[in-house]
Amino acid sequence: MTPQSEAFASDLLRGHTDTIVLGTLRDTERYGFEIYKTIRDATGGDYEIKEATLYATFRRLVKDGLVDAYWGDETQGGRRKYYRITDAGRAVYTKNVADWNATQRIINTLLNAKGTI
Amino acid sequence: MPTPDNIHRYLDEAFAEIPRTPETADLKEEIRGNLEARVNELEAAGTAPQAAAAKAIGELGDIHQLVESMGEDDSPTTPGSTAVRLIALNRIKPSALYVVRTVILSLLLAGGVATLIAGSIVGARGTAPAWLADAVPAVAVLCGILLALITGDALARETSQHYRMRSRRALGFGLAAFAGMTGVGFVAAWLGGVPLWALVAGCGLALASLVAFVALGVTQTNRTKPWVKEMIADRFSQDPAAAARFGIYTVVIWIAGFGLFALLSILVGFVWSWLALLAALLVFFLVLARMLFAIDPTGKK
Repeated sequence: MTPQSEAFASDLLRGHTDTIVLGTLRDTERYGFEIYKTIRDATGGDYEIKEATLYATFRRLVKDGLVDAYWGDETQGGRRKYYRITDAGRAVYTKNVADWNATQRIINTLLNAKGTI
Repeated sequence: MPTPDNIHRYLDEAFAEIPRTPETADLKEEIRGNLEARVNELEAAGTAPQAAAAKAIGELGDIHQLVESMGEDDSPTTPGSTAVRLIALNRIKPSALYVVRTVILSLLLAGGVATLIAGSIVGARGTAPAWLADAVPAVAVLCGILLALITGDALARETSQHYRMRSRRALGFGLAAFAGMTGVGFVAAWLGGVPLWALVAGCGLALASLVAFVALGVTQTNRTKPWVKEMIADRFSQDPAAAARFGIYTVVIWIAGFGLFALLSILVGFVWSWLALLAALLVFFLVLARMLFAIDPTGKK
């Protein structure tokens, strides 16, 4: 893969950061670093969302009511801010995944189209 | 610039340029907590403290851009189109089961309350069959349970505008509603001819309910979702003078209501005097509606 195509792929991925974060919260509530780690480990290190990008994503998701944030009550060490998906967030996640699957099918078809001129 | 190796100094430096607001302080603490989690992980794996901090900060990426963007995006423009988009985005459909459940429980409750009123009026006239008077306290308890179920169920549910309440808290509100409803029901039973114990128990329950509601109310956090808070800036939070005026009106309305209640109780008895309290409640809500959602002549909300 050329460096240029890698850059393009990460642009494409960045557009789905919100959905990816929502996906990590489907089963359990997590704090920021845990979300980051989950995403990093899921790709096996192939792709890394910058942690700094994630903070902007969290803020946007909270503002849109897709996740609910609350401070944990850790007694030792730093306090952690946890995120929990809301029902609205689940709905958006499901919709985005369905949209992506549909888009992916169409793009695959189009990329393979030879036409009959 | 060498990579910083102290997360606290690094954060202080990164946040130095922007005004300190609750939002930026919140973000700073969040990043601090996550950096500490990463540092702990690295140190547990055998990395030296300073190297671990440097590595954690390196992995974090450039937060300066994020921090600076936070300082800017406080612009108060919320055009109508975004409101529509936000409503569509945040809409949560209530589950069908919940709606059916609530409708059935509400109908049962309405039937119970009607029975209570009928029982107490007929009983007060002395024309009630004995079994009706005996049944009224039981109906009061049943109404209490129904109201508790409806209340708790509704509060423990996430809606488009509010986050869900924790189950134990919702249960507390449910119990308070139970005590209130049952208390009022017992007083109605007493009016309908049930002995004095019903009045004592009724007043006791009503008082307990009041205390519970106040205790729960003052410790309640705001469950309103941020998108709603942003759209609806209510008048009282913007105009303290209006809020103070409303407070004084409230006191006047209720003093008048209770005074009239006492007067009517002496003149015509308890059967009709409660109407004074109902009237006070109606006036109170009309005033609340008029004042909280006042139509601003300047056209600004």
